[in-house]
Amino acid sequence: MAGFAMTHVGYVAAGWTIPLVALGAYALRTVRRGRQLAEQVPPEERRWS
Amino acid sequence: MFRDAGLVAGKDLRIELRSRVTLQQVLPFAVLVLILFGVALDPDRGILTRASAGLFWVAVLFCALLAIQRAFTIEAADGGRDALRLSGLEPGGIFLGKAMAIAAQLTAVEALLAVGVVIMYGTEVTGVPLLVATCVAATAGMAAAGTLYGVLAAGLRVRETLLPILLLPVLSPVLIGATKAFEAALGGVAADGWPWCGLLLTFALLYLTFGTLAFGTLLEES
Amino acid sequence: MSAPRPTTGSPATRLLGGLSLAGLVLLLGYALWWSPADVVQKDSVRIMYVHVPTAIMAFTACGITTLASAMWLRRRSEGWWVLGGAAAEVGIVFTAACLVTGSIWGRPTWGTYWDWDPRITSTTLLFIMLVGYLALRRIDNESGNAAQRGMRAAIVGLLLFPNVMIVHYSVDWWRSLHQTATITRLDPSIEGTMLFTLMLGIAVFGLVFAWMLIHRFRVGWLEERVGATGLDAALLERRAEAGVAGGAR
Repeated sequence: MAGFAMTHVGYVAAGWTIPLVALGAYALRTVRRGRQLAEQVPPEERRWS
Repeated sequence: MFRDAGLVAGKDLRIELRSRVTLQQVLPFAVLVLILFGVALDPDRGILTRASAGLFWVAVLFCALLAIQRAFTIEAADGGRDALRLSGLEPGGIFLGKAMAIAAQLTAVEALLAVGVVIMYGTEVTGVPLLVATCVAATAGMAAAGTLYGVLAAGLRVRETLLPILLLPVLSPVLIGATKAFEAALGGVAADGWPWCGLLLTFALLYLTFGTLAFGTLLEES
Repeated sequence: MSAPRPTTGSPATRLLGGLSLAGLVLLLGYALWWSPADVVQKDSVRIMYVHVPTAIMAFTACGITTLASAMWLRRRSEGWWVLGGAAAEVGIVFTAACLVTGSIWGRPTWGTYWDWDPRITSTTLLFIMLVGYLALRRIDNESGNAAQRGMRAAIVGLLLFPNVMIVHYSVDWWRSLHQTATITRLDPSIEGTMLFTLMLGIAVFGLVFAWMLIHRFRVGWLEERVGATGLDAALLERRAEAGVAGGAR
C-alpha cells in the first residue's frame, strides 16, 4: 500500500491534475472548434475524412 | 551596400537632428527611468550602486524600444516605406543604415545614462576598456535585432504593444551579457567580463548577418 | 465519410487518441503506483514523470514551428503556414503545463515555487515568445492578403528556435556561476522502474502531442477554407439552416 504512505500527496495530486485538466480542456476546445468549422466546409476539402 | 547604408543612416540622423525626438524625448526619458529606479529602490545608495549595471541596461533597453519605434514611424509617414523600396538601394544596405542610425542614438543614450549612473547612483567607474567594448557590442546587437523586429511590427495597428513582447525576450541574452560584463568591469575583475562581451559580439554578428540577408524579402512582401 | 457530424478526426487519429488514453492510464499506474519513491526527492519525484515529458514536447513544438516557417519560406504553401501556428498553439499549452508542474515540484524540493533556475527562466521566455508569435499571426490574418501575411510571422517563427537556444545557453551560463544544475541529478542515477516510467511518460505525452497537433492542424486548415469563403456570412447562414432543419444534414 505504497500509495497511502506517499509523501507530498498534495503536490503530486496537483502536479498531475492541473496539466491533465489543462490538456484535456484544450483538446476538447480543439475538437469542438473542428466540428463547428467542419460543418461549414464541403467534404472534398476535408481530405482526412 | 555600405554606401547605401551610409545614405540611409545619414537620412535618419538628419531627420533626427531636425525633429529632435531623441534629444527632447528619448534622452529625458532615460533620465526619468534612472530617477524612477531611484525612487522605487530605496535611494539608500547601497542598493543602487550594487545594481547600477543592471539598471543601466534596463534603462537602455527601454530607450531602445522608443528609438526603434521612432525609426519606423518616420518611414510609415508619407509612404516612406514605398519610397525606400523604389529607391533602388540595396535592402541589406537599408537594414544596416537603419541599424546604424539606431545605434548612434543608443550610444548617445548610453553616454547620458553613464553620467547619470555615476552622479545619481554613486557608481565608481573602473575597467573602462571592457565597459566601452561591452557598449559597442551590446549596442550593435540591440540595434540589429531591433531593426529586424522593428520592421516586422512596423505598419501594424498594434505595433506599439507588439514590439516589446516580440523584441524583449529576444534581447534578454543581451541584457544578461551586458549586465554581467559591466558588473565584472565595475567589480574590478575585468577578466570575468570578456567572455560575456564575446557573447554580445556573437549575438550582434548573428543578427547583423541575418538581417542583411533577410531584409530584402521582408521589405518587399510586408 | 458516413459520420453523422463532420469532425477533424480520422481513423488514424482515433487510433492515436485511443493509444494516448490507454497510455495515460498505464502511465498513471506506473507514475503513481508501481514506481518507487526517490531516495532524495521522496514521492515528489512522481511529478517529474509529467514535467519532463511536457518540457520535451514544448521544445519539440517550438522546433516544429521553426521548421514549418523555414519550409513556408521555401515553398509558400498553405500547409506549412497552418502547421507553424498549430505547433505554436499546442506548444503554449505544453509549455504552460511544464511551467506549472515544475513550479509545483519545486516547492517541496527547493522550498520555493520559483527559483532563478536556467530552465525555468528560459522556459518562461519561450512561453512569452510563443505568445508573441501567435499574436503576430493573428494580426497577420486580419490585415493584408494571403500572399503578404505570412512573411512577418514566418521570420519570427524562423528565429523562434534559434532565439530559444541563445536564451537558454546564456541563461544557463548566467546561472551556472551561482549554482549547479538541479534536475540532472535525477538522470544519471535513475534506473529500473523509474527510468522505464520516465521513458513511458515521454512516449505517451509524445502520442498526446501528436494527436493534438494533428487535430489543431486540421482546425487551422478548416479555418483557412472558411476564411476564404467569408466566415461571418457562412456562420450566420449555417446557424439559420441548422435552426430550421434541426441540425440534420
